[in-house]
Amino acid sequence: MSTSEPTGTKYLDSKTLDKIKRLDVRARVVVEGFITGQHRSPYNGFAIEFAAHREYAPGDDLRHIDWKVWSKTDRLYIKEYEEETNLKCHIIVDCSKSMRYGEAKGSGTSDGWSKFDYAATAAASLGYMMQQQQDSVGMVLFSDKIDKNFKTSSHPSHMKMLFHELEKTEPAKTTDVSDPFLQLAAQIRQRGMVAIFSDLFIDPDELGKALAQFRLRRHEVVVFHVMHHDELEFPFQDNTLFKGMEVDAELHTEPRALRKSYMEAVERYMTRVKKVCAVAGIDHVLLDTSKPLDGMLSSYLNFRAKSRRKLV
Amino acid sequence: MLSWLLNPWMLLGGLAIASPILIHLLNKRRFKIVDWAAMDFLFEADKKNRRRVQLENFILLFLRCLAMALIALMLARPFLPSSITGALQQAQKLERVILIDDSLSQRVLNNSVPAFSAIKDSAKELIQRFAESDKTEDWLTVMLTSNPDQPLLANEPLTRSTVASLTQAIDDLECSDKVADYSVSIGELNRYVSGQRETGGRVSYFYSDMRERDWVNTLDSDTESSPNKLLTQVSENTIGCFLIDIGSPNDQNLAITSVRPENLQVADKVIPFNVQVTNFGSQTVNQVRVLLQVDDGQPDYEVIASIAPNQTAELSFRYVFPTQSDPGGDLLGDESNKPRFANYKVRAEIDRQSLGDEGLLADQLLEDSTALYASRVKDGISVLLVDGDPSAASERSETHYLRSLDVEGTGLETEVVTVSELETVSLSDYEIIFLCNVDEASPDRVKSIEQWVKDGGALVVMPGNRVRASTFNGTFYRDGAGLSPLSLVSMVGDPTMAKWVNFEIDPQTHPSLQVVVDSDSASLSNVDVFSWWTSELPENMIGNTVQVPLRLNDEKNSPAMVDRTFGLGNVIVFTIPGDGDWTMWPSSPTYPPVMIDLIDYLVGSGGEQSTVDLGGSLNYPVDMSAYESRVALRNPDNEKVEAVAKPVNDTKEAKTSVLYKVDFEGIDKSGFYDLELTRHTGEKEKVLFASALDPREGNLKRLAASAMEGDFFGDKVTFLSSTELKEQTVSGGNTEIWLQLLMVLFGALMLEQFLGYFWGKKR
Repeated sequence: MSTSEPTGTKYLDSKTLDKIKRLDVRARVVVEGFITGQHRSPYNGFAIEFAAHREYAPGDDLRHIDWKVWSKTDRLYIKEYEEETNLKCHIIVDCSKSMRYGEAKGSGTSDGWSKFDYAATAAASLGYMMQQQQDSVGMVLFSDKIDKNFKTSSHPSHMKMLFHELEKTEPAKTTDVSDPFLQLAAQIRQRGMVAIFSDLFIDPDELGKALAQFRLRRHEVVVFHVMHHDELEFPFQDNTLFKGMEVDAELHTEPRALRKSYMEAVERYMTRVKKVCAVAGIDHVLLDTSKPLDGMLSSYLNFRAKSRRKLV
Repeated sequence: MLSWLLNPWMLLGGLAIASPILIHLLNKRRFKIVDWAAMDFLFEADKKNRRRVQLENFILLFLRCLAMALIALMLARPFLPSSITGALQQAQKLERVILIDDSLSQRVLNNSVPAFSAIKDSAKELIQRFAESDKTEDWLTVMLTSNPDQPLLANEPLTRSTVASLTQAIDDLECSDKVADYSVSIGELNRYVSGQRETGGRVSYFYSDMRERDWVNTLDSDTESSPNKLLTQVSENTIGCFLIDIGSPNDQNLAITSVRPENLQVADKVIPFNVQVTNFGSQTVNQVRVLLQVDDGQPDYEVIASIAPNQTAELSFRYVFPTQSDPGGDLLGDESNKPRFANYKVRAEIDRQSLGDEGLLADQLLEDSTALYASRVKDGISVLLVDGDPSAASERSETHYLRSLDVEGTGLETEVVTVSELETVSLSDYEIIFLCNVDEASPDRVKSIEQWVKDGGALVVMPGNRVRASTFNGTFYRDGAGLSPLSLVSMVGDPTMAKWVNFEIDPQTHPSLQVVVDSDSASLSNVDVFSWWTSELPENMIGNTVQVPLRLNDEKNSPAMVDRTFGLGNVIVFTIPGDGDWTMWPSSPTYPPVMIDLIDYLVGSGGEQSTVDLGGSLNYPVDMSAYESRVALRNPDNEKVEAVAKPVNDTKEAKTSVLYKVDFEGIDKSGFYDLELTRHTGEKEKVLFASALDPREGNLKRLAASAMEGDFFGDKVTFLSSTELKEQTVSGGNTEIWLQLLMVLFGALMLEQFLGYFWGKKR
């Protein structure tokens, strides 16, 4: 499956998308725009596909013997196919207060799209694309606890309901993944895919433990790490009073003087998060709110291809 | 020493230092508020950087404050003793500029030693120390207040090998007789030290006796040209400025401040000489005997009982000069070659022997105890009386009363001619011409009379009943272009003598009327005038070259006597005749003294000054029709110099005039000067001059100590006594350090910029 750079990214630009208020429409624009840019339609690749040959063993279905190979080699080989399964995907979206960073009010260099806006759009786009592939999509909104939990379904009306819930959600609480992830791991019994959209402003060790719960249930997990561009680049110049969004603390400082150390701290943090994910066998995708959403969709398709092989 | 710290710029600088801190604090108050999610990263970064950032900010703030402080320091123009800055400047070469006050007052005796000797000793020692103590080669310039624009030593190398010749030059110095003009001499010093110098700096030393009259100009002591302000400028233009006080606070002095004849010096006439003696000391001096000596004759003595401090006593000596003997026996009868006057050397002197030991202490300056005067004594005053109404009977003639003045003791030599004879007389033989009842003369004669007056002659016009107004006006007034300042209108009055008017004396008394007014002014005011000429005198002329000493109290308040300056001479016009036909004045007792004083005034006003100020120039008019243009002058040392007479100025009129002028510059020695003129016929004629000491130099009053305090000389002038000078290290002096400060400022600003850039980039 190709993961080359899509050509229709103009449809995925956050400023363009910001003009589209309805999330379902926004998700469709993202997905259609992304798919238009692919050399091969992803929809055509989901039939039963040849995977490999293996020697016939007693008990194998004779229908799968490759007679052409027998006629040439006089040996019996079985054709194996990658078989499409009906995937269940759980989209988990962080609704903590820190996800509000980037809103027009009180934000440094924001263009009006908060991290939550970005995460919601990405989640909706992912859901839309899955629904197009007949996969079942469920959704969980969490902060320091599970705020809302919607079971999986591939019905279009279910998707509309999910989009509506995402639209009306307003992040307000603090982030804590321990309890919510433990509960979720217990609740999601059937193996499937878990896509987490969060800024992950938590202790990486704690995050590792929480993610491990999903892995124990043999879920395939993708972490979409949503970071605002300001948080990655720290572009502030003048004297600034930073007020904590989730913590009751503030810092009056000269940002230029701190930038380098801040960037180093972020880098360390990112390294730890990636390490934690890698150890748990979890894909980590960094989403920069200033970048188009195609990265996220490409990551999903990669993941889908990989998981299909594993699930055979 | 560090008085510049009190400079107002320092106060402003102190305030300016606060400005970076203020800006820093204001910046802290201006900030954005951002709701931030990733606080943990921020806290971590802040914890790691806080100390470093604070230190960096503090260093930048310090550098900015330092820059402001340095700017303030530079504006305050700080200076430090050279001993401190020496290390910075590394043995720089210096030009030592010494200004020495060599005026007359430096001859004052202290323990029988002139003050000037002390200056020379101090200066020699100073130069010796320069040569011995300085490792580098210095230069030496020595200037004198008597001749500041021509240095005694100009930028001479000052080394151990040259010091002997330099000190010898100081040793050979002699005190001048001139007055010290500090404005000029310090001004010249300032001009010199403010000039460019290729290497090293300059240090100035000024030896002064700190006399009040030298430093304080009573007219205005706070102008830029006042000596103290100029010395302040010198101190700003040099790296060290030392004012060395070599005066003594208790100097006493008696001086003859003036010796003058009271009136015109004529032979056989009693000439009173007025001598003024001033006590410049602080104690009363008693029994001061003063002598007056003419040439080598027997001195005449007068005694002043006592003179209080700062008081002037006057003495009057009476002297009769003999008639001039005929200088050339071979030229008997040739009046034109006879010298115009005889020269006599008059010397007034305080008899120091009469003062006693105590009195001698009251007169420490000997030179001004003698005053000189050059008397030029005429044998007589040649007066030409032109009679317009002659009569065989002497008492009826127009000139009768004027002729009667020609008696022994007046010095007058009168000669009477008629109007027609006037046309042929030689005008140069006379000093005064009276036109009595005369209204006409030939145009050529009028023209020659005008030139004669312009060259210094005196004309007196006394019109009577024979005068026709139109003829007089056409001849002598000529619409204002003639000799007479007024035009005659008509004869008025009462010939029957039943009515009369009187004189009104102008409040500004004319010299000719002074004696009469002083003795009895009413006697002149009561003179009856029965007839007179009414006249028209342009009002705009009065006050400038014309004055009206006498008027009549008629309806028009007509002028009775008008004095007009005409070239170098004078024209006096009366509106009454010289005889007694119209007035009782000629027969009144006031007439002779007025007329004699008028003659004295007229001759004296056209006379020549016989006194030359020391330090000035001697100039004398030369009649080119009688004398050669080359003129010689012998000074008191009998040294002879020559000069050529030149036109008075560059105008065409001056070039065609017979009266030229000869100038001799640099009259700087006290004594008598002989000017030697040569007639065209070859005979020599001498004119005597006396140089006069400036009486100001006799005033030895010190500048008050209170005046020397504060800001009188400026902060950078180091005031030293000669004793303190010995204790000074010769390299001492103040060095301005603004250049070093500028370099530090530049460095601070560069460092601030670099650190700001470097740290900014690093962050």
